[in-house]
Amino acid sequence: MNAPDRYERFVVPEGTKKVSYERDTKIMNAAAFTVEREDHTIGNILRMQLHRDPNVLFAGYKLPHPLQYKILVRIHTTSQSSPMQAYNQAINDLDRELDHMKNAFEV
Amino acid sequence: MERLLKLNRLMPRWKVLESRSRFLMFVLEGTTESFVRVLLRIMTEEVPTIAIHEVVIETNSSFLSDSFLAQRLRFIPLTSDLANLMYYSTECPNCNGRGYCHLCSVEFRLSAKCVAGDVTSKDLVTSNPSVLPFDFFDPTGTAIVKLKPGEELTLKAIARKGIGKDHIKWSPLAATSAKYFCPSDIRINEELMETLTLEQKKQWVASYPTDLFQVDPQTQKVVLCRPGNGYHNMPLNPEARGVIEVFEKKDTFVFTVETTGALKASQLLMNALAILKRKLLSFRVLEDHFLDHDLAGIDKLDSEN
Ligand SMILES: [Zn+2]
Repeated sequence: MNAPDRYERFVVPEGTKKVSYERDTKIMNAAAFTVEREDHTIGNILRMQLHRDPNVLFAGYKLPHPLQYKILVRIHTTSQSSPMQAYNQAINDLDRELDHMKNAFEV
Repeated sequence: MERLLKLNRLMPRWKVLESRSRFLMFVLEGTTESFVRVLLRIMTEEVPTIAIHEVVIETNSSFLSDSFLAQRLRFIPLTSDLANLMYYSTECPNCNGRGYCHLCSVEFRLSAKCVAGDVTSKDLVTSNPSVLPFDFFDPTGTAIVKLKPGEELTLKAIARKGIGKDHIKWSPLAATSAKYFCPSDIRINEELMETLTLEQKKQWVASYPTDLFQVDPQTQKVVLCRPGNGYHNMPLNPEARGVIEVFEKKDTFVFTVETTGALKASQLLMNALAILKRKLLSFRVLEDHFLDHDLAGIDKLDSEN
């Protein structure tokens, strides 16, 4: 009865942004991205891709609570890059990897 | 493995070992476990299929209760090639999210009266000929209920599109039917091997299954005949432990997928890749509008320090 609706897990509520971005006030070049309605699937792959970036000093994600359907991705980069740049770069690289896989697959 | 982590972008290679309509076995080489795991999660949870979502029972005098019957109907896999073109019932523009029009639902009717044999999935009459129970053309079909003389069953079922994250009935994979493992390979310790004489080498080779190793006639070296073939369960001669070493290839995965029949296995894989791509892009597009002012803020902070 009190159980939350299952669709809340993957439908972004109206008026909420899919991604929000918050800069760290104490550390230079550090920021936290909140991605709504995503889980380990995206968190893990994004983190692994960020680790490949030589300018990224720290990248990690967490799922704050099983009933809060969002992930937090924290990125800390060197001064050569910025969290936003690293984040976009990681998505672009993953996107190209997927394109490559799709083209290379044949049955 | 460490080498892979340093690469900026991975370029994995496929090799399909076996492909039947519901079954696919392939090798993915040059990638990390995290990527393979993500692929598995997307296939189980996020590839849409069609399944029965609502059952309206008109008459039911069988021994199964209404809710039990509905539960059995829900888990019959329906062919879901159409799922990509259908709307989710909550987002359908044609019927304002009520979920009963032909763009977001498929209607099944079943009426049976003490037939000879079971009531099966073949008795479901569809409103859309491309959405059928997956075993509709099989001789038997999936049993739903057995009727005794005088018993009757009439019902209407509405099938809708959904994903496995919402309910497991929409997952195109049966519970344990997708898995992966790292294959093993054999490395020969050349230094130790060279201490053996040619006669000893021949004996050593003969103690293994034929075609596994052979002595090269020219160089008199022992070579592996089929490298990278997956020797994960080969029994090892204890005396040979030092000479050869069996190791796991951490960047290669043998992946097996078996679907419920809702989608073809290769189609499922392609859908999973497309969904992952769409997910990633949905973050990037939304990025742009706050790129301008936030990045400007960072630059200012940089120059202040
Ligand atoms: Zn509709």
